[in-house]
Amino acid sequence: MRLTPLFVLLALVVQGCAWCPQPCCSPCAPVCCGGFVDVTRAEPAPPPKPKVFAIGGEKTTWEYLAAKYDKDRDGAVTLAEHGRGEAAFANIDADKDGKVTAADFKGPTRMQQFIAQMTVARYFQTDSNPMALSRSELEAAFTSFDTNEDDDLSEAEFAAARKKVDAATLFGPPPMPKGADPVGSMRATIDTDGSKSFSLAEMKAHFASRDDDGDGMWTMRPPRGGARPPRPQGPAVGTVAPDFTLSPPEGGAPVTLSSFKGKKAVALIFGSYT
Amino acid sequence: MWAKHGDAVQFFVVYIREAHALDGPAPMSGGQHPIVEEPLTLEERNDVAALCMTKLEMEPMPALVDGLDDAVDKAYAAKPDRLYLIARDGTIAYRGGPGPFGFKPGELEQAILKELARTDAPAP
Repeated sequence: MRLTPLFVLLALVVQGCAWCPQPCCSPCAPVCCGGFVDVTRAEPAPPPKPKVFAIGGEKTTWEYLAAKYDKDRDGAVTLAEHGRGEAAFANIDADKDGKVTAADFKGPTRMQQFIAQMTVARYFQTDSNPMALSRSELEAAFTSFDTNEDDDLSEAEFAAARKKVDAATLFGPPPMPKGADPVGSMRATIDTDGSKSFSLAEMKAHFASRDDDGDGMWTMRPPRGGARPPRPQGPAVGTVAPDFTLSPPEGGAPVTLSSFKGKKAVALIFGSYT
Repeated sequence: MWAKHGDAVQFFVVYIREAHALDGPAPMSGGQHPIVEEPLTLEERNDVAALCMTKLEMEPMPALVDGLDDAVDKAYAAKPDRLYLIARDGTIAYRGGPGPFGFKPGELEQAILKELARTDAPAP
């Protein structure tokens, strides 16, 4: 038996080599030796792709965006740094200055403004018309809630008022969008001096800011530009369910809805995390 | 409901476009609300769907993920959230209202009980 080739073979095995199926002209040829390649010099795995949700404990949207996209750590995320398209960038560049900074997240979000208005419309109604709220109704309701008559609605006063209104309403408080915080939204939108109470002046200013036509009324009406198109209804009861084939998030066999026909009823729960 | 009826009825969470992505038209991120960007690839949407199932403790209920063309969302007018029951004969047995106000699990359960009580449903 020739020892030299055996010695070389054993040395390669100790180094951590494996059989390389590639021909000697392949990229791994320089490290191949007689058909073996040194696996300890294999290409490193690519870095994992960054996720699209907060996993590092970031508490605010700005903290998350800065950690993920502010590569030069200059306190601003540019369109180029962001890299997720102009539409998405425009949605987060609230002040439209061409860069995303902490300042873009200082004020209330559009959803908070909407929820604040819904909450005010709900609790400051004093007549039987739920489709409109007048400035005089707002002021009358405020006066009735302001039990110590200091023109300021404290947390306690407003809590008592909400409890009274909810108790008087047949079906209790209306459901809110998932994760909504009615009082927090009001605080973010209306409590401009950060006092954790709502002054009469702040309430009037909020009313005026949402009174688009300045007529002293909030009314349910179609947006400017014409009536909103009717909302799609979805397939009606008794009609054939639209078929689909979708896959699980973790991978695996796709599922076709019609495969359950004649076997089992199927409950579909549509939704998203946000 | 899934624990009670999961043997007789097949449940699926169908994951669709984010209702309140931080870079969407109606953001509601931070504080108590999850911070999620609108997925641009199916892989990203799969990641968020898997996170959602874990964080909301909905596992091991099976989930399916709609494509980025939102085809199933559109076919069922599902956004932001909605409940349906498909009867054993393949027809719509229950169509819930659009969420959040129309999302009523109690109504879905009533529909399930009615469907399971049917004697004219196709035999498995």
